[in-house]
Amino acid sequence: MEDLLSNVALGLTTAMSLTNLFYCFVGVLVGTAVGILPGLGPLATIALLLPLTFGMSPTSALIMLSGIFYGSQYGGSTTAILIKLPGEAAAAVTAIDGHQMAKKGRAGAALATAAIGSFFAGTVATVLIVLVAPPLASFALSFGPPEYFSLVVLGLIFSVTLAHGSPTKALAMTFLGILIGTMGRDIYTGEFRYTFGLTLLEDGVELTGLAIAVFGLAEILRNLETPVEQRPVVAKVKGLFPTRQDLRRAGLPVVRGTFLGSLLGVLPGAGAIIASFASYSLEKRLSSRKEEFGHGAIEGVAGPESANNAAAQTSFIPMLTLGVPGNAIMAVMLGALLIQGITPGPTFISANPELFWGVIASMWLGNLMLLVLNLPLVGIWVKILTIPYRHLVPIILGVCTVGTYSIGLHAADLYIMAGMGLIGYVLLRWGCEPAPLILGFVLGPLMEEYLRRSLIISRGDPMIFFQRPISATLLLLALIAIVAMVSPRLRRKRAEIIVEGES
Amino acid sequence: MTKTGRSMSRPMLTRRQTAGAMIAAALALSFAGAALAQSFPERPIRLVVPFAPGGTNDSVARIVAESAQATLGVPVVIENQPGGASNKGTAYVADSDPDGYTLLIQSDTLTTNPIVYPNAGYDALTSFEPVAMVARVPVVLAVRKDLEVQTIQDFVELVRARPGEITVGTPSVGGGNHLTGLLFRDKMGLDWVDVPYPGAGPAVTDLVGGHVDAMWSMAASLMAHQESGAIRVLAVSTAERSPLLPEVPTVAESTELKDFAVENWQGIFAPAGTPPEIIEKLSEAITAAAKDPVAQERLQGLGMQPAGDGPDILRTEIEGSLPRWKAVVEANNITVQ
Repeated sequence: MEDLLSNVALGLTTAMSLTNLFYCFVGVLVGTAVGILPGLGPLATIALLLPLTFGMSPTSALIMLSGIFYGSQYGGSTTAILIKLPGEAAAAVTAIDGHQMAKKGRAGAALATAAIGSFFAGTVATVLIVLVAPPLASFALSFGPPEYFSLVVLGLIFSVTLAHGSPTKALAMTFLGILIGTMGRDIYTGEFRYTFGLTLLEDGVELTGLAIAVFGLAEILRNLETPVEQRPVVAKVKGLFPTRQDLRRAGLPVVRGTFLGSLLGVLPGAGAIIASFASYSLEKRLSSRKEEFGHGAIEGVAGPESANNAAAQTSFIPMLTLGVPGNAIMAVMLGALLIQGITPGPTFISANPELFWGVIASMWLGNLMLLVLNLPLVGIWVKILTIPYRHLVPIILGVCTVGTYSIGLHAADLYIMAGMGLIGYVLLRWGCEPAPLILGFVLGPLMEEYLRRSLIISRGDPMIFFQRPISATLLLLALIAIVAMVSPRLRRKRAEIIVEGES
Repeated sequence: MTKTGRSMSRPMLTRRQTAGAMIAAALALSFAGAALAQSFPERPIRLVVPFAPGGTNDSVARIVAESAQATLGVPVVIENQPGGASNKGTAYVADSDPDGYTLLIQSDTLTTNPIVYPNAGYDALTSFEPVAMVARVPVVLAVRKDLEVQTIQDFVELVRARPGEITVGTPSVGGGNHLTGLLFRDKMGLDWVDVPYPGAGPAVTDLVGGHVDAMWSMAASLMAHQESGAIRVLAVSTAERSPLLPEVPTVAESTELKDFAVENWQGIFAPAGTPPEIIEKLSEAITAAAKDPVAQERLQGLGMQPAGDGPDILRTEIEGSLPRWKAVVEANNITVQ
């Protein structure tokens, strides 16, 4: 314990140095900006700024780069709430209830809840890194292909609860998402699938562009249906900050989102995205006000936003303690450290205590800065809603186009975005919601990849999923989830039949 | 009168002078190329990375650009053009103006891709002028830490004892690492299970986690784990031992494959037809950049052996490895239309 305190003290001293405070601030500021801009993501930004860090000390470099990463998780929710345009893919689920809140004049409360939830999550995740980084890291390593497959299956089953309408439509959307996810080059054989002979589909569909299209563009198109005069006016902004009741309702979802996010963030792969979706499903299941979900339930903002921030934070654990980067962003950070001659791994903490504890302490300071930065900004952001729609839409479209193009510099991504926007609109008219589609799109390819890899490793024996304890447990949970989902319906059906029989 | 006189006094062009002027003009035209080269570079140079930001290739590009722009006096701008297993960005540079302002950084993938993907959109030898080899990268065979083998001979015996059972992670199908593994497997007559991954990162994670038994990979992705003991590197693919891993024996010295020698690399290329003067200038700047001590230290940090060789060595490398990979790809039938 004494060790821990002296470590934390060392970290704080390092992080509080004027230089490091400065880089931390630059990092979170840049991060907030790229988070807000749809398309422009933390990965491209960090890679772009990598050469700048060559001249810095490794500690300052990592402090700045990590600030960009977790800062972008804060920023991503802003546009999702205000204009239903997820700035980051991980904020897609926030768009569902966050934007509904904004329509009811509660944008301020939604934004503030997202910021406060993120701060809480960031703080807890930082403490978790301090206390249990090494065991969490080895937990992550125990996930091989079969474990991931089972986890993804569980996630897909939960996706049905994402929709507030018909479960059949939600299921259909999930499958459509899975199908879209299979487009492009097959990683096992290199063959093209579902490209319809078009070169522009050879690399498949890009997640950020798809999220922008089916959430943002589809929404814009739907708004264009009604003439300006008849368009429902966004309710007047009622108060910038959450009410006491809001906070009470958001409390537990924040805590649950934080723990869910911390756990899923450690796992290599799309931790933050899966964490936010998982948190949303969980809150909806647990809530006593299920009917409010999809219509501006504050739990649907608080939970996922806390989850994706916590996941962003804990995704550092495998990189720092094992040298295993869980996602592309961590790979760039690992590169930044290697270039500086520092090798993350099991001996990393003891060999570079100043660096490790300094960066950890800076994460907490950075989260504090983000809170201080974002809460006053809430007042400015909600003003965006007062911009006349005919001015706002061209700006949104411009930013989306530039952002999506900047990801891979492929014009193809823009055609795909436009096409998917149209498809998204048609689906919206049919009452099909985009959230399960996005989740299917994210999880489908992962499920296929892990399924095939597991079977290659087991030489075709499917028992591999049941023989490994973690995998078997996850599949059991999936089974319980299905039963739990079906049984109340069955009971209700039976009740209905009985009622009909009596009448 | 004076007017006429003056005009009369203006020397008329003789036939000889006219001829002389024409020759001069022709000469001037032919020197224009040289003059262009003289003033090269006048504007920023684009260095196309055919992969997404964050990979090894991308990091190397940024290190070289940082050092080279000081020598060249103009910014060297990195442009990531990922897609089509790197064929998109590579073909883009092949089709760019051969003026030295659009360059490509590629690895051995430049050689292997047109064999694996007949529609790659370029030819490894005729579409480019090699500029400089920045770094050399050995390919290594590594095994999970609890696999009961200490040497590559042990490994071969294990695979022979349990044919079709040992799993080998493959960073990407048809890539240099995969082909190196296949070359070894075919020459030794072994039978193991290839487990494809979408890149080195996830494959290394599964090797460290013990979910696959072994892996052929560029040393760069495995160095740190070798140091921490999370995996065991059994052999390097190069003819000589690598200065990066001096204690690890070569495949050639520890097996019967005495002529086994595979080396991956990172090189800079210009579109075919770029004037030799410009190539020379670029080559000087980039080889100097690769030899810059600061850049060397950074490259070594990434698990690369800084090279700094000129166009000829790079061309010889490609010419030498083309027929070898062609044979491996054909023998294993991994061509993708």
